[in-house]
Amino acid sequence: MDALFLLLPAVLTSAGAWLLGRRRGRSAGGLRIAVARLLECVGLTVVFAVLNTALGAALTLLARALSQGFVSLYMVTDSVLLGISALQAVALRWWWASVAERDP
Amino acid sequence: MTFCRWLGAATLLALGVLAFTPLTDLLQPEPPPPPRPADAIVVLGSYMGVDGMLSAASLQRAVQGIQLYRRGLAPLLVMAGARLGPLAEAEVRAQLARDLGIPAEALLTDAGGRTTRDEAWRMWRLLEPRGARHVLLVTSGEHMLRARQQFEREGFTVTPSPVGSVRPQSIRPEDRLGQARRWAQELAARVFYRAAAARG
Repeated sequence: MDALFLLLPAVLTSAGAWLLGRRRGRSAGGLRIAVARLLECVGLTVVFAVLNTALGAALTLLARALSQGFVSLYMVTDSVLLGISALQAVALRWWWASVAERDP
Repeated sequence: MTFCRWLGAATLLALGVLAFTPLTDLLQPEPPPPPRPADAIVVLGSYMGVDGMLSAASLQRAVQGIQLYRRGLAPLLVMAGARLGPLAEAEVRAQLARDLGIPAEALLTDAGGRTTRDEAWRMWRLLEPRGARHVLLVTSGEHMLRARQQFEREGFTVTPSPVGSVRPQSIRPEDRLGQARRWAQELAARVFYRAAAARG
C-alpha cells in the first residue's frame, strides 16, 4: 500500500498538465490519441528489446565460437539495451507519424 | 500498430502488477535446509571489477563460504571466479579468506571457469582426485537450481547453501522489478542450458 504513495505525485502532476492543456484549448480527444501513441511506443520498445536481446545473444555465441575470448551473455541483459530500444521505438513511431502526416 | 498498442498496454499492466503487488514474493526461492557436513565448500564465481574490487554479490558468496568453513562443515574451501584483467576473482577471494584466517592448505582456487557448466566440469576435475564428491555449493538463490543440476550431472552430491535466498521482502517497486528481472534472466538461462543439453 505504501508503494502506491509513489504514484500520487505522478497523478497530481498529470492532473496539473491536463488542466493546463485544457485551459490552453487542447481537446480531450487529443489526449486519447497521445495515450494510444504512448502505448504504441511501449509496445515497440518491447519488440526492439526482444530483437536486440536475441540478436545480441546470437552474436555473443558466435563471438565465443570464432575467438578465444569470452563475452558474457549477461552483457545483453544490461539495462542500457532497454534504453536504446526505447529510443529506437520513439524514433520509429515519430518517423511513421511524419510519413502519415505527409502522405495521408 | 494495433498489435504494438495492445502489447504496450499489456506491458504496462504487467509492470504495474509486478511493481505494486506482492507477486514477486512468490518468486523467492524456498529457504534452504540447514547445511550439513560435506567434502568441500565450493563458492561459485560472480563478478569482479577490472580494478580487483569484488562486487557485493561476489563478496557475499565468499563470506558465506568462509563462514561455512569456520563452522567446520568441510575441510576444503574452493573459490571460483574468472580472470578479468591482471587479477582473478578466485584469487582475490582466496586472499580475503587467508586474511580472515583460513589456512592456505585448506584453500583451492579455480579461475578458469567462465560459465556455470564450465565451473561444474572444472570442479569435478579439481575435486574428484581428492576424493571430494559431496560439496556444499554456494551461489545466489536464483542461480542455485541451474548450478546444482550442472554439478550433479558431473557426479557431485550437492548440498545447496544459497546466498540471499531469504531476502527481506521489499515493498519498494524498484526492488520488486529487480527481483522479477533476475528471475526472468535465470529462466532464460535455464531454457538455454536445456536447449544446449538437448543438442548434446
